[in-house]
Amino acid sequence: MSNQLLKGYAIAIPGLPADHTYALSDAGDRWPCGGRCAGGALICQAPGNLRLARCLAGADNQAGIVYSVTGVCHQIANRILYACGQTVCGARGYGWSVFVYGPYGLDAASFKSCHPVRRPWRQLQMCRRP
Amino acid sequence: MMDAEFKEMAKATLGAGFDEDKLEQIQALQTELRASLASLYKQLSLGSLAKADYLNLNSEAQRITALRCEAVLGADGFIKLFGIPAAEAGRVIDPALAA
Repeated sequence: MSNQLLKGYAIAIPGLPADHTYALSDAGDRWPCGGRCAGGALICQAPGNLRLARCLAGADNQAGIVYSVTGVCHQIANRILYACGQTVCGARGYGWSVFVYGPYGLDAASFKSCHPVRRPWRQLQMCRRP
Repeated sequence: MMDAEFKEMAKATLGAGFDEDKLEQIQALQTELRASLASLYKQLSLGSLAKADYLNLNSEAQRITALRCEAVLGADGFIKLFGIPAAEAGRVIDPALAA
């Protein structure tokens, strides 16, 4: 599938120190990453592989993340935006969520942080297959 | 081993000359925190911990770890590295999304 612009957004959550993040595509996809998917500020964008992004998001748009266990919305967004090489590093609270969960979330079996090359998460392994 | 990405972020925000010993202490706290979270998740999975209790204990473990990181880095160093005050670090989980 041809490249489409993929975008990451951050929204302030009233009463919490971290931003909620979500992702969109210029083809009309909205990936709520567990929460809202409208409003806020654009914090990253790049052309990306839309087929890969949709696959990585999964049917439930959670990208394989179990919220609060293996990651939060930052990690969900990062997994989807892997398709365009961007992360939501501009979101408030990102530094701490990465400390806890890593940029791409934790592997539920080992609780080690996932990485696209060193420790790819299951959805990435499946979605990268030709 | 500390995430390579986190180490790069740490050096980028704190400067290349940052005390490596302190980074190693932060690394140890990260390892300890993740072990705690793994234990909590195991209890949740086995049904021996209610979801609400899991969330409270998860947040508390993060808060305590953050305070210990702050003791290593100093208050300013913590905010410079993590972008939020240590006292707020246990509140990055949105209860509305975790329910």
